[in-house]
Amino acid sequence: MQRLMRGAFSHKALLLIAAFVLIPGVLAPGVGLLSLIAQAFGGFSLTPTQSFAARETGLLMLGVAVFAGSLGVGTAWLVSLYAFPLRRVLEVGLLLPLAFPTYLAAYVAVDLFGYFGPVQSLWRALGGTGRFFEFRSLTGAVLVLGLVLFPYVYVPCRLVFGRTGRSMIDAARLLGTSGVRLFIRIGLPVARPALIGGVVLALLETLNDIGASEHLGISSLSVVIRDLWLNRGDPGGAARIAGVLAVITMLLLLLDPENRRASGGRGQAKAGARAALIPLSGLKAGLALALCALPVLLGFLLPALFLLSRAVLYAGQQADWPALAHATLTSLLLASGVSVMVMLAGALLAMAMRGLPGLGAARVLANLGYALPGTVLVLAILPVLRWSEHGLGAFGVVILFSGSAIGLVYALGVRFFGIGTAQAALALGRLPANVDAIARLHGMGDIRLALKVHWPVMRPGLLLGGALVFIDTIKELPATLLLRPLNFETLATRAYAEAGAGLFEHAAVESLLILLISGMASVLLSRKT
Amino acid sequence: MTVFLRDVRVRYPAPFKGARLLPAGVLAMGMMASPALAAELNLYTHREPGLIKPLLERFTAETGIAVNVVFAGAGLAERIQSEGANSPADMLLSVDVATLTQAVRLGIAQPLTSPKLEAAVPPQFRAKDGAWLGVSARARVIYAAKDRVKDESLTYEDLANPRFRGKICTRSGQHSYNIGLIGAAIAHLGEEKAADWLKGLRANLAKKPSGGDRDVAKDIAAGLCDLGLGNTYYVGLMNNDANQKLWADAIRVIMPRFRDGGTHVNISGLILTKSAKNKAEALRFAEWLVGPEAQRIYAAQNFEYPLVAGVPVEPFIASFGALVPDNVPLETIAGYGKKASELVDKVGFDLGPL
Repeated sequence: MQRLMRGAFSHKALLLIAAFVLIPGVLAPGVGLLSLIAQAFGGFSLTPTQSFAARETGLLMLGVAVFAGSLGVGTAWLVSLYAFPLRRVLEVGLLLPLAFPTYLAAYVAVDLFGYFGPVQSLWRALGGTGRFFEFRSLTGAVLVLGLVLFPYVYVPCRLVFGRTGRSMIDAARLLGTSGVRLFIRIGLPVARPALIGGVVLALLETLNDIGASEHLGISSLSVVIRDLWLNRGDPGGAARIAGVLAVITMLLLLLDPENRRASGGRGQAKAGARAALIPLSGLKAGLALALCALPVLLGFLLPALFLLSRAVLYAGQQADWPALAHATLTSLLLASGVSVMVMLAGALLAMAMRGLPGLGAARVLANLGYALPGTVLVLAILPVLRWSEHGLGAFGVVILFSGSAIGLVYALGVRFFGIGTAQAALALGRLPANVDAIARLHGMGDIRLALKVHWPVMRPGLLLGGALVFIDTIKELPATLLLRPLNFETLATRAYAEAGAGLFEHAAVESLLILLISGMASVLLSRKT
Repeated sequence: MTVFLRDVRVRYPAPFKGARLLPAGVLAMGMMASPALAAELNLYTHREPGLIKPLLERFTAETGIAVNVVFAGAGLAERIQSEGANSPADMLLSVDVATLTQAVRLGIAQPLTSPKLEAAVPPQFRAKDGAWLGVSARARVIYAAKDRVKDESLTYEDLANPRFRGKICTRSGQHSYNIGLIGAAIAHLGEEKAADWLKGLRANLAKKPSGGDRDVAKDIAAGLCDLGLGNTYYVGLMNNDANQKLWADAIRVIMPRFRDGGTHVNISGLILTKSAKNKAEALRFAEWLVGPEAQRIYAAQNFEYPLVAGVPVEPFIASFGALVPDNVPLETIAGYGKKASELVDKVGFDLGPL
């Protein structure tokens, strides 16, 4: 019966829609990557340094998974279940570290806690001696990355604890489970899919990072890949390692239970009204407050204040207000453009996947751009842009994609395609499949069904995904830097230009603006969830 | 609207004023080549914008040629190659000779020659066939803790001496500044001995290579290490920055030499792209950069060594001592770039002290 109803959707149209987004979003960059690998086909072997980098990357990812995972799920648990001072503020505040680009966090951490930084200076002024914790180490990198990436875990976990999984938690409480037992016996199992999904996102960001790793002296695979390409003129070798990495990442993505599920509508029970919070008092309230306040303090407030002090310190020296305003506008335009494009593509793919369950794998494949380090993505995109130019040129149409904003927006779109698809599919998945059938029985056609039923259902998810893509685009560096047109400056590229000269303080204003814009977007994101 | 992202300086005709506010403006950009309203030059640069901005502004003021810029840390030559004949880039400005010769190997360069250039730039700082052209120079030297290092002079070979165990800081061995130096070491010592030297240097590291050259001075000031590798101009820049002077004050510059040579000097330089559409402007820019005025800016504001005879070295930089450039030709050093990168990998340099 259901099969029949689905049949009402014209398969050909759906396939066409899927192809329309999958060809540019996955197939073309995939072929670009393969063409690189084929350029210099060789065996796959790692030098000792490269295998060390693989090991170190593995350890870094393990550390980030554990640290960001426990921080995210723990804080989500506390703010969702308990009442303690400042809870409402912290509930939103815990999203803010998302605004920090990893490279910026690394620069700030080193300066803030370095020998000449305010912390150690104060320590010495108070008569303290001895060596301080060194952030330029593996542990330091885990701390820095974990502190800014844990919101990826916090957001979905809070959603589970506050809404979708709430009834189960409340039932367990009625049966007398409480405290740590409640968290371990009920909370963790209920949040497992969300936890895994969030950790996977945090790990993808970790895998992609170059700026922070380099500044903190971590030999990450992304750095190895870049050195192979640029120092040894071996794009083939770089693409080979990146390809293996992408396969591993795709497998990682399969860990996310959401990705293994059939993508047809299965519908979820709607959560009821928000349940009452458990009041905490005394020591317990203080502990909860401290546990939730520390990540906000260390992951956002303190570094933001530090940047503010640098901005004041260097005020007037570097400020070029018209250029700054222009870069802000460019950042906003670019991020809006990319978000809209990604969410539209995601919505189309989600609708096609709903009608064609066989397309389920597309959900994982859509993450190709996210699974490749930024520099390699650029390498894979460049030939695609060239082929498109040549292809169109054969028809007498001269359009320049390379070195144009089109090329850049396209590359970023490919990069974040996975986020759009995942969020759209998640939202659409909440709509039971028989709704489609009912709509059809009432004589709705394809287009009307899509516009009147699917689109409104997906909207909150699209807004959420759009906010995520917006934040990520504002922060994005390697692809923007390498593909941008002449005189095209975003806040991130301006900040990077100063940091590259060892003067990231000079770009404190740009950095603050990045925080402000993506901070506002993440607060908006909290409203939507 | 099409002009928007190509050239920020262009004034928008009134009807287009609002258009740039639309995201569609971004998407629609680049559909057509921007009309050449005035003389312009499209420059891809690995040199940080802050460092070349005074030069570009002066050039535009004098010649009326607008310079459009893209900056990236690395990878621009590869981008030009991929863009092919359609590449908007007229020139690539880079921070070391290895990147320039790599660009030439990628086949994106065409000779940049003129009697003026040949008269101004000494032959060791430009390619014989004009494929690349040096415009400024820096030396890779030793930063030494003023209060802890007694040595007045050191060779590069000394850096591997066990008496400096656990005392040396540097940025990543894969960074082009270090790749250049290691390439020079291969030229002087041969591959095998250079590997031993690099192993010794690795053993002497105080910590894993990280950060940039300024961080080396900072770490010395903080007492983390006694010696470090860094470029000369950073010392001038730090000395000029009220908030960084502390680091510059903590170090003394030692001009090291190879035992059978001089101090490793690298250049920042230019190539003219094959696809250059503004060739006349490009040539004018190159000639202007090696002219007395630009060379003075390089020396006074960027603390680099001028390449042109008759332009004085900035006094603070001159106070480090006379520069005796190494005798190994830059092209040889660049040729060893790949080997140097492989050596850094093989020795495990970036893994830090054993």
